[in-house]
Amino acid sequence: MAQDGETDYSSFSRAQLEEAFERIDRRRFPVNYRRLVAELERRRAADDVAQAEEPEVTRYRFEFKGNASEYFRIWIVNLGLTIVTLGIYSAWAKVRKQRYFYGNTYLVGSAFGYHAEPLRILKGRLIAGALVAIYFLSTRVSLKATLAVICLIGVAMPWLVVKSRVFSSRVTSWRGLRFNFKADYRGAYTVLLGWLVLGILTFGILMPRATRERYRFLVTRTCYGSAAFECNPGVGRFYKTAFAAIGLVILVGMGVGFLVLALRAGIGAPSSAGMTKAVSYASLFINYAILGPMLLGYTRARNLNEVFNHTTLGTNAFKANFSATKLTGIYMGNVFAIVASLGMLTPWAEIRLARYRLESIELHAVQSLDNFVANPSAEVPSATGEELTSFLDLDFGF
Amino acid sequence: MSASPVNALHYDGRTSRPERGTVAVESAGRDARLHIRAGTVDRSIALVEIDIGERVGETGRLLRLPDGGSIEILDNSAFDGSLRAAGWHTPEEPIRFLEGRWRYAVLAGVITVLLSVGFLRYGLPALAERAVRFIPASADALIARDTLRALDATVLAPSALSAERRAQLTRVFSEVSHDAPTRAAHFELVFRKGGSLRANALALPSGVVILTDELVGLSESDDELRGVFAHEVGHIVHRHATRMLVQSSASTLLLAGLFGDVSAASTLTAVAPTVLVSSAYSRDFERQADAHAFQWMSTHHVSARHFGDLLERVVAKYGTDSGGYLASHPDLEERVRAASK
Repeated sequence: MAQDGETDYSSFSRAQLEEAFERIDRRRFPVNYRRLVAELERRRAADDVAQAEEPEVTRYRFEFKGNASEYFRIWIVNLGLTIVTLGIYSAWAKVRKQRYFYGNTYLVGSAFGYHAEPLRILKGRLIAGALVAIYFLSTRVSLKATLAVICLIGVAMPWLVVKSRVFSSRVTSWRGLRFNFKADYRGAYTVLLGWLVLGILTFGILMPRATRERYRFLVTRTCYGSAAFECNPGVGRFYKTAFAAIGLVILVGMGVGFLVLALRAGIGAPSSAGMTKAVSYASLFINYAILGPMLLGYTRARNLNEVFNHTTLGTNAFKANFSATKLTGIYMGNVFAIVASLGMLTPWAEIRLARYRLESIELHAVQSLDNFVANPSAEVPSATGEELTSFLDLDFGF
Repeated sequence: MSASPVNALHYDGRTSRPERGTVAVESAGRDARLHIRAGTVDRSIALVEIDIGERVGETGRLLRLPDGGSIEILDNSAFDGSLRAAGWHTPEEPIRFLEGRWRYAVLAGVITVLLSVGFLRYGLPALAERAVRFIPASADALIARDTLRALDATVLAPSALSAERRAQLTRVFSEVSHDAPTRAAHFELVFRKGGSLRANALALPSGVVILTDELVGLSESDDELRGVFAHEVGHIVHRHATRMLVQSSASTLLLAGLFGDVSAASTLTAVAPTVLVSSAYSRDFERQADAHAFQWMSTHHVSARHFGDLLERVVAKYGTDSGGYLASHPDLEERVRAASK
């Protein structure tokens, strides 16, 4: 049985002190009680001072409430309607899909909104589709035409990316305020084309820097209401990630090489045509289903962490904790699931990826999130740029 | 008439501050109004002036108010009940009805698979056959010239055959091509060393046929090469190269539209179906060219067996997966069987 006056409260944590204060029998242990109260008061005062110096941070998690079985039905019904209407309905299908994902994304109890008009998307799709068809035919007709079209796309790319960002930002809302993207074409050409060309000319040495500048450009031109996002990721981290990614490729390549050598030693060189076929399929499989997802999972996870952890909106900061292994696992699992189910698990794959992406991001708010102010309303531009970038896969997304 | 209030968030559109409260639909029909009570807000707006956002799955409806404010509905089914009670219908009701039931999802899946497979298998080839009639012969010539130039720059090398042998083969070729049922093409046989294309013959859209030294070397009689020429002429008569161009471009665009936007991680899921579809088209064309060759050989009293013999020798030398003449061709045994019929 403990004696009164034996307990050393200075080694207790604040929470332990509070708990002891709730439980203590002050009649049996009057000395302990006095010491406990003294210690607790000292700690409370110290904590108050600390709090006054460091503003209180509230952590908000992004939450995703979509589910695969509900989305599967939405996806397949809209796909069926798209096919039956010879593609016309695809614009409405796109809006419904976006609304599903935006509307199921919550921050502090409020959902995001998607406000694009299907007719505009349809118009953009038709124009973009015609241009892409011309591009596609040209790549199969003549080498010169292909080069010309690729150059044209290269030159138009920054302009297209800005157009697409402006469109998709202005149709996005949270708590009744719209997002926006500053139509900074000069910046887009400097960063998206200039840095890319520098990266290529230096045989990739400046590529990690170009990636960093690209992320920074896309984040810092975005606004919520009248507040602009700030973003200052470190250059070094992008280089480390790039080197590690190259190491990863070499490691996997060596592993596969050893495996092939071991197999050859075991079974002998591929003698039959069937074996040659098997080897070529195996290398395709390693490329697309293992190496591709690994590289993408690793670099995306690292780069996104670096970008988000250096992104702020006013006094609020973002925190991301993407795990390279988890993201790789999701990418790999998605490829397997989609191929094995002949496309039928596509909605499940999309939901899984969206949930992981969103739930890996937090907002650390210092002030209330109620005080953002609207920007004078900006007009939503045509959807052609947005549709073209998604057709040509120029959409540098997350 | 007044329905029970529904939980909702009100935003004034000027700040990001939410006001928790309720909305209630009052009266019915065109006179229906939305009564908003949230924090200091207490007002009533005609429903006709409100943009009622569509509902997808369980996501909360967003209503846009005429003054720039908005409402986020927190209880969709209660709100939809009030709308229905007031005689209001939202345009997405039919689609939501379909999306909400598994039997329609299954139906949509069946329709999607049947229509897309049917279109890719029968519709698109038929459309392409018709479409190429509108592509002028001059375009064919342009494509052929560029392709030959590109091949010369990459894999092909000048032929080592003697001028005599070439002249002889050219005579055999014109024997096969002079009565081909086409007006647009100008048939021409060119000789090259195959390089990685090895024993091969290729038909370019304008009527140019490339014959590699390696294939000439493997042949044991001119009748065997007559079979090869008749096959290539078949490709040209049916404008397979141009049709392939149209079909594979269209199918790639279509498949990318259907399955393309999952995420960059799934390049495989975008590439694999395209490759499968293209090689299916290619096999169809080979069958048609073979049929043309057998037809020509039987009317000119050349045994189809010769064509089969040469194919067998190519396989014996390079294996079935050597690429080139046999890549994306139908099963060889099937072709040899057809040849010996």
